Amino acid sequence: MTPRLRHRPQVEEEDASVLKLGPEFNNAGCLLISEVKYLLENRDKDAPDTAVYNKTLEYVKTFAKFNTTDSASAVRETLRREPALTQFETAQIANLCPVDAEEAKSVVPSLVKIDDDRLNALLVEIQTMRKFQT
Amino acid sequence: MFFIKELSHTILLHPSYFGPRMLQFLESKLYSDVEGTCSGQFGYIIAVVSILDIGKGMVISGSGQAEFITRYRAIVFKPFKGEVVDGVVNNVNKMGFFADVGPLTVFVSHQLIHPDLKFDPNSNPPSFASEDQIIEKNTKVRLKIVGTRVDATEIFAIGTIKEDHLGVID
Amino acid sequence: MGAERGKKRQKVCGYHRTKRPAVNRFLDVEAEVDEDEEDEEDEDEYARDEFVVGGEVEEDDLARRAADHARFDRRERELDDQDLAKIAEDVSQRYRRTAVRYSGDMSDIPQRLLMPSVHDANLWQVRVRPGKERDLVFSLMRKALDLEYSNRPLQILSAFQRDSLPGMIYVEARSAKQVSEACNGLVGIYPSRGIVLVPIEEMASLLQIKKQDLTVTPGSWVRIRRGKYQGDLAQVMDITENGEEVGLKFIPRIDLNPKDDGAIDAMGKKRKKGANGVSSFSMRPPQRFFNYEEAIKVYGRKAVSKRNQVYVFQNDTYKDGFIEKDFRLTALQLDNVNPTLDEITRFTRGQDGAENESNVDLSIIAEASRKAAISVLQPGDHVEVFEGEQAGVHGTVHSVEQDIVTIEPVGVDFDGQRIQIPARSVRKRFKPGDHVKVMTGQNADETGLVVSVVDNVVTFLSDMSMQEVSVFSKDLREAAEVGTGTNVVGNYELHDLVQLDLQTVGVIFKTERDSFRVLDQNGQVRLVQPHQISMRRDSNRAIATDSEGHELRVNDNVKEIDGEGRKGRVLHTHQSFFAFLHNRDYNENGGVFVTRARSLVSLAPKGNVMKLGAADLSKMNPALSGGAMGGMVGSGNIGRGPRDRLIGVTVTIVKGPQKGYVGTIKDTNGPIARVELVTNNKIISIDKSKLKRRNPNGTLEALESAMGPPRNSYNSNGPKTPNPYAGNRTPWGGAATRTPNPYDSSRTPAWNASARTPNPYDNGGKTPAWNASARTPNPYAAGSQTPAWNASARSPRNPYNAQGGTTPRPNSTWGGATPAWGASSPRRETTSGGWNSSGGWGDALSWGEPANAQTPGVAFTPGADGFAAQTPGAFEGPYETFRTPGAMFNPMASAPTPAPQTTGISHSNAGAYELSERWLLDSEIVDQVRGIAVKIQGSSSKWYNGQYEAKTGVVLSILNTHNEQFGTTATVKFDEPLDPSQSTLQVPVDVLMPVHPLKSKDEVMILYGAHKGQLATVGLIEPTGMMIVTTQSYLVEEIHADRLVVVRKDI
Repeated sequence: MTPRLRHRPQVEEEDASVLKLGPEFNNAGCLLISEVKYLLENRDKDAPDTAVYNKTLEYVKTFAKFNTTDSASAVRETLRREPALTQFETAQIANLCPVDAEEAKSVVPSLVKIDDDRLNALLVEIQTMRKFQT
Repeated sequence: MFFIKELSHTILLHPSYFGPRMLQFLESKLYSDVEGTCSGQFGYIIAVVSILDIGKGMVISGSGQAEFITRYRAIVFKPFKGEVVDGVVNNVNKMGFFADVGPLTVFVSHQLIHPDLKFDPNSNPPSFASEDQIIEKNTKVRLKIVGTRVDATEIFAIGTIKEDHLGVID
Repeated sequence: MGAERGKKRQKVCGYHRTKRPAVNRFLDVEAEVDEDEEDEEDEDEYARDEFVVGGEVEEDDLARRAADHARFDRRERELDDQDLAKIAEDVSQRYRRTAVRYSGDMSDIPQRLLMPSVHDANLWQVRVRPGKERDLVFSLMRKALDLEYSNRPLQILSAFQRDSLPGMIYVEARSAKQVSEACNGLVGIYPSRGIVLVPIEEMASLLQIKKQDLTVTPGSWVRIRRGKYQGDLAQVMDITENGEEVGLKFIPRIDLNPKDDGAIDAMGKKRKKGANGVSSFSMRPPQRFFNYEEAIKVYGRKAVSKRNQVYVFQNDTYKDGFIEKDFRLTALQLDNVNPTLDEITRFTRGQDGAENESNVDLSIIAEASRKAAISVLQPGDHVEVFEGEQAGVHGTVHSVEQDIVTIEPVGVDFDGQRIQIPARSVRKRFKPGDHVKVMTGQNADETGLVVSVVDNVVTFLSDMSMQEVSVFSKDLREAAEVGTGTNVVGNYELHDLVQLDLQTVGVIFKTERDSFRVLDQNGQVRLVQPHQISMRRDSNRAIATDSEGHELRVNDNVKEIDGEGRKGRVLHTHQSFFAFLHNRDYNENGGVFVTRARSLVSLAPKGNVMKLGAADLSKMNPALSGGAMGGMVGSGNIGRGPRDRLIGVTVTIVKGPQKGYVGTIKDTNGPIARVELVTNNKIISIDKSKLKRRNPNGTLEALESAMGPPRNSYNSNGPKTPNPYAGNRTPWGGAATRTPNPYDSSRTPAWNASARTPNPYDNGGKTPAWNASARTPNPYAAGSQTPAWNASARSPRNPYNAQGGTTPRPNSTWGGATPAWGASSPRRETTSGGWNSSGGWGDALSWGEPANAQTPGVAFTPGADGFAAQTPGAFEGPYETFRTPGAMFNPMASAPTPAPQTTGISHSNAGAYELSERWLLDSEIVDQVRGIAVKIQGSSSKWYNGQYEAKTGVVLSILNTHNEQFGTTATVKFDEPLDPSQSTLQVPVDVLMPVHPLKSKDEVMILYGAHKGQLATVGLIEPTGMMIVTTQSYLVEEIHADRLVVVRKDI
């Protein structure tokens, strides 16, 4: 039979729904898609001609919710008011722009810790910002 | 999820590159070496934002090459299990569909598509369709990554749209 | 007859049975029953016949009854006759035994009492050929019967075998010797492998009969143990009553490409034998459903016959494509059958590929797979309980003890508890998104992401094919990389180069949970565990060269030039020979393959490196500025220039501790060469100056003398100063000059031109510069005192400088003074030798300065300094004193001579021209000195304090003292004496130099060559200073003015 492995390395399984992002990313700074778009479009060097870069650029152009740096930073400011939010959650909310707390908690399960009303208020504010961004 | 992350990269430089343009060369080499690569640990390295430290060149005895350990800051993209992302459908077949999420390709099996959405073999382009929804090439979908496979140069993921608030988005 | 007998026998039996109660009355009951049972069991015809024969009176029922009565009466009588005491004893004896037997514990005590003791014969285990055990036991029995009444009957007591113990039989005997004697001569017994005594306590257990767990039921799955179908899955169709044989149905392996003889004699024994499975497996045909058309195509129509629905082919029956065949139970594997889903689906699909689910008993598969599932559980596995009280619970396996697994359930209710569950009630649990790997079956090694789980069937999307694959969950396990995000097991990672053993390295192309698949350098795939890896190797700095000699580095994109032309990225190189490449497009071995580095060629160069690299590099790296640029292909790594030509040269060490050793140059680096010594196979680094090239004949010569690589010319010239004489850089090699050269174009014409007139200096004509100076407008002529001086003075310098600077002769050699000169003189001979040896003409160094001013060549060529310094005044003497150019031009101008005399030319080329100080005393000349025009040269310290320096005159006579003390003098009549009254003086011959002719029609004497001493008349004069002279014997000679002296007849 196959030999038994006595000490199986207990690696923490990555699972975004419980905010386990692995050792490298648990505390890393998350970027909104809109910010990535800004960074890529305002690169001072020549764009590298790699498939990864091109696909990403296309992707962020498609899915950026906030087209200006102002609106993106405004969203960040808004979400910063809720101290319980982690970087990851902040970025997920801003990227996915759920309309209400229920949807938010469905797509970002770790948001259960936040009160529905408070979350709703934040989401409404973000929706407004998105609607009225120039 | 996109991250901004500090990473390091080791460059070996041949002595013939030593000289006034060495730094410039090191920079270009760094860009070309890391941008567009993918590792299991950090995901896709999309673009270098800034170079923090080009490193001290240590000449390696024996070969004469100099080793620079450069530190830089880059935009990386790493998908996580359980993460909800938006994507664009790239390819549809009877087993499911493939969606592009930036550099990542996510496969959504027909088993993880709501049963109402049925594969329509006669449609052109091929699609999954129900009464009110259709998934075909270039449809935008919101999906949840349920698993990733990481190897040295690529990440592949499978996703599901068989949950609430997932599926076709406008 | 047989039937009749059976009937009778039955009757008899019936009679016996009815009779039995009556007999039971007597104490003889045991014996009676024994006999009866034996009769019933024994089906041997012989026994039956004997019985019939023996009981002939039985025919008549009455007669038999009468006999019984008679016997009874007789026994009664005997009892009566016996002594009562004896009877009592008998009775007591008989009953004592039974009393013991049946008292107490009914099951244990008699067993214990029946146990063998040390006094009993021993049991010996004998190794035999597996499968032959039973046959051998019978053979032993026959042998025993056969020898029973012979001289040497077998001493063994019994022999038996057990089906559960294949490959051995047991023989009861008093000694091992008796066993080996019994076994002697029987085929299939291996007495050499030992006749082992069975310990007494184990003897009984060997004979214990465990109730056979007959799991074989029609419809169940078995595997065939041996033969052609070894390992194949078969389905049981029926079982013979004795349970010995089962009828199986399985997929045949028909050889559709039989050997020729097989095809001809399809039904022959050979084939039959093959079908029985004794043939070798090496050419085992693949599993394939029987197809009538295919079979008759190969074996002919006769080979296959059809009965009802069944084909008979080679004594086997085939139905619906399956072969139906009876097998002995011992030839089958009943447990651990573990049929895979795809094997079963092949069965269900049948011949035509149509699904017919009906004939598969899925419950059997489920049962089998469940059993197997137990054995594959490992601690740490995620499992779920699917039956029993705890159904629905899932958790991780904590430990496995035989059939019981302890699991740590996940969930709020089970905080920290562990529950024990029968292993058969749990199954591995997978959830969508898990990355799994198939462990067994057709899809083994496939990995993928789970997309759905239905009961124990898991569907996953294969990583390789992007197809969905369904397998039993028992065949799956989670692949190592899931969750960790890397492919690391232990210290090793995917695509690491690892050392397996001394000779073997390999690249990990697949990681499993606790093992790797490694492709070694021979292309073999190995399954290794981390502890089998001795070390990880780093090939980042390993160097290998591709087919074009370029460096091959890790991560280069390359392509095979031969073979399959595979492309890939270099993962590792090993020993500069093997290259491990990776290409995701290849499914085999995870896209990793190994090839020879030498058969690779770099694909298109990396764009970015070339953008920055090439142009700069060429400037930064002088070594690359020459031809190597063409080699800058590939990955932007530094290409190497052409191989140093010194590599491979056999050399002898001439200095240092290794002096005298012979070796071969392996590598060079500047002034250092790495030499592999012949003596002790060592490679040492040694200065090149300590080496000499060793010719095959054993002679030595300077290392970098001939045919040096052009690289040296760059070194000596310096990269930035284009050398106008660069074209001469390989003059000795005779190679065509390669760079534009002002003299080059003139070389051949000049040669031709000079060929027109006989010229003693002709050897000089070989050097381009010499000719050139003659042919082209001379830039130095204006600044020079005499054209002749220029022509001659410049030409030696140019060819030498140019050559010196550009030939491989190292500067040190040039600077190395005389020995170097001497060493190189033989070569000069073929080229421009005369000029070198002419270095001996003078002592004082004076020419260097004017030369520097006038001939830029000196300044350009690095060799010039050394040359000038070391060969002082090579040309100073004769030329400085040429104050009378006109006189010299004259003979040259006037010497019109036509045809060149080739022999003469070559002849005069051969020797170097050296005018001795005492030339006037030459035997050919001394007799006819009168009239020879001379000038005073070098007289400053010797004669009249140089007052007469450069004066010309005519020799009248010579007083040869033949004595060093008293200098030989010549009587010279000066043209312009200081003292007009005394125009004739005695002059030491040392200071007298010949006056060379300058114009046509001059009377001259030849000072050198074959016609030395002859008088001649100058004809044509070449601008080079060559003169065509006609001697008094009307020989035409081309000779340089320097080698002529004017003779005046007017005195």
